[in-house]
Amino acid sequence: MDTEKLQNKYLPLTEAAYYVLISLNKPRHGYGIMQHVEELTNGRIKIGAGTMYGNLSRMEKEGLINSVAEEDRKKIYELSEKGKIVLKLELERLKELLKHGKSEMENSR
Amino acid sequence: MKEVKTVWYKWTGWNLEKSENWLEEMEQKGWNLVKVDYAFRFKFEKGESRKIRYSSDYQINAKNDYFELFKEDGWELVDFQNDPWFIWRKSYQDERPSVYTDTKSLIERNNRQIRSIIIMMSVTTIFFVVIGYFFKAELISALIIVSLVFYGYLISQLYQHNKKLSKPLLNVSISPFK
Repeated sequence: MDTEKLQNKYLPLTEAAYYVLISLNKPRHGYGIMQHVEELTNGRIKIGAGTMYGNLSRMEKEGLINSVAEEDRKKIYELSEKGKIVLKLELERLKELLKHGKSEMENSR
Repeated sequence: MKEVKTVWYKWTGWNLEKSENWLEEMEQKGWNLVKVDYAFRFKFEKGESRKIRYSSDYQINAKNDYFELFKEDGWELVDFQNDPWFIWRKSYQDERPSVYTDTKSLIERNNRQIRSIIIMMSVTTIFFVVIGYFFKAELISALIIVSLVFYGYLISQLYQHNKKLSKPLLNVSISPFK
């Protein structure tokens, strides 16, 4: 798929979307993602149920994630190939931001 | 017998915070919400003072996984019977919980409303145009104008709310079509 198109369409990700995508490197259901993100960020980021549902529905519609199973009326999701590409692009973007930030701040010292 | 109170309360889709805070204050005063009839009639029962967060949602085609996710996160569905509107509540101690934790989701909730209103507006207009063939044309045009003004008002309020929400951000699309 065209890299530039994906960049224009999805980047930058919101903080919630970013954490949802990285959590789905393993199959998880919505509430599982919420717990995982809270744990990962030591409680700094809590994703509300509405925000989580909105992100999951949109990402599934856009094909960034796939619903791989259903357990007790809960859908289990996982990153799709497209989602992996978008996440890789976002990581590259963030790396560049960090690199520029660091070098600029060091130069000004 | 428990003391009961019925209040007709006008809430709007672009100022849900106000009605949510009102319900929270009622609970603090010991008026526990029992149910809501006819979208605007709120029934309370006198009981204990409770600390409860109310959150409203507009969700078309909500399926099992929607309800399951909210319930797992500790939210209880209020007896409202006004699909696609839902009122959720959750008791809390220190940190006040929210169903929506970022601005983008709030803008999207407004956008879902805007899309529904545009559909209703089109259906109403087509309906009036069709019956316009059989009835007095002046009356029908007046009805079309009234309905367009009404729907237009709703859309502009929601759009303005979106603009207010997106102000501190530089990069959030407020278009209902994106």
